[in-house]
Amino acid sequence: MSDRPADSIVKLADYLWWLLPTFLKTKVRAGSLVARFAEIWGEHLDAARETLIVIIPELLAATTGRSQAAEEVVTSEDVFDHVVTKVYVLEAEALDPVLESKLRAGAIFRIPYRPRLGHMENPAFLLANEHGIFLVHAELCDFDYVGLTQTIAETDDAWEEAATDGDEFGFELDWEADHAVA
Amino acid sequence: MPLRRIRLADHRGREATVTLVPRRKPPSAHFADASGAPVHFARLIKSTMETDHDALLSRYGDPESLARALIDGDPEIDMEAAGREAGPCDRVHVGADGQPFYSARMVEVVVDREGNEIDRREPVETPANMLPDLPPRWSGKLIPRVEAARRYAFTRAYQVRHTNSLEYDFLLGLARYLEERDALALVGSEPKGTGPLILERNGAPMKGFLEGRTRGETYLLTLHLAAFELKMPEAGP
Repeated sequence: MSDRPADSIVKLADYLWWLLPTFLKTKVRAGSLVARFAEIWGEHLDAARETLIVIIPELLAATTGRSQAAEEVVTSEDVFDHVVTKVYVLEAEALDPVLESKLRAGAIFRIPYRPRLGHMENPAFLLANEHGIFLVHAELCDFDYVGLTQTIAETDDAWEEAATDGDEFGFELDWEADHAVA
Repeated sequence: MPLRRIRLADHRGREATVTLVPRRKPPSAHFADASGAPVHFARLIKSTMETDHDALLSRYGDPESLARALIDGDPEIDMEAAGREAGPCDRVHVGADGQPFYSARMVEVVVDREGNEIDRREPVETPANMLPDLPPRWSGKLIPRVEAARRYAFTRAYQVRHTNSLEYDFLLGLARYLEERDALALVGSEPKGTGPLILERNGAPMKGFLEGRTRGETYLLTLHLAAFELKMPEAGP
């Protein structure tokens, strides 16, 4: 019975593997082979580094002290897609009557909000109730709809508690926020 | 870390213990130097106990002498330690004399909004109440979605999810019920189901609200937790 082509390829590979130590016994051959591999990997590393440099995110300017366009939120679902991170009570120096009447009627507006120069884009919501007008800074929850067949990956929410508790040893995020301008 | 669980009741008088999935950590930017190499954060030693203000004041006697010494030299800088990388740190409680405490009695200190101490008492251990021994009760209190958004600061959110088909039916029905009413349901502790939720031991009590949405046979049920109401801060004394 004749061998299959795949068997011949395996036999050839075996033979080449058997020859390899003999081939590498010559120092020059071994050195050139290693150098060639190093060159190839060096090129790959350089390319990867180039890619890293290219994808540096653009710094976004702070929104404080500049006029921002308020976009009316169509549904309150948009608000519930976020969690509140900060709340400011606003005391208006001047308030457009149209905006005020809309706020008093229950409208919620979305405003781009960045207290400092940075990479992150998080919204703020402008809203009012019987107690006053508030600017609510928020972060996206990013939850997905789930069906009958789904899997739950174990995720840790300790980062959220540490961020809200202001743990002095978890200072990396604070550092980023405080030094983004520098 | 295992996922949190909560025991919930619904409008049909059924109850189930279901899973709470936290929101994903938002992506953060990584820093690199001019050559593209990653940079890392390091904690550096700024001063030591021998060079802090109290130690220097006791060494020089009075503020005038200390000020003169600071102008004339650098007694506030420990040349051996300052600027060195600290490495992993442990928190140590020290007394007024700077010596570490080897055993301490924890005391809860209550302060007012200005930071003035108003009370001192033994700390009370408050257990979490997400998994009560007795079956929870449907509070029946619904609040329109728009009103809730304008009334509470929802500082934490968890997605409520099933782990089997019975829980799926339970949660899909609950989400559909809330979506049809465009309302959030108050979820809480105590016999009436209106008390605050405490997520972890000694955690802050929060008001919990369930919000539901459906899309075909899929659902999104979220437990929103409000740390406080949106109100004007009270005027100081």
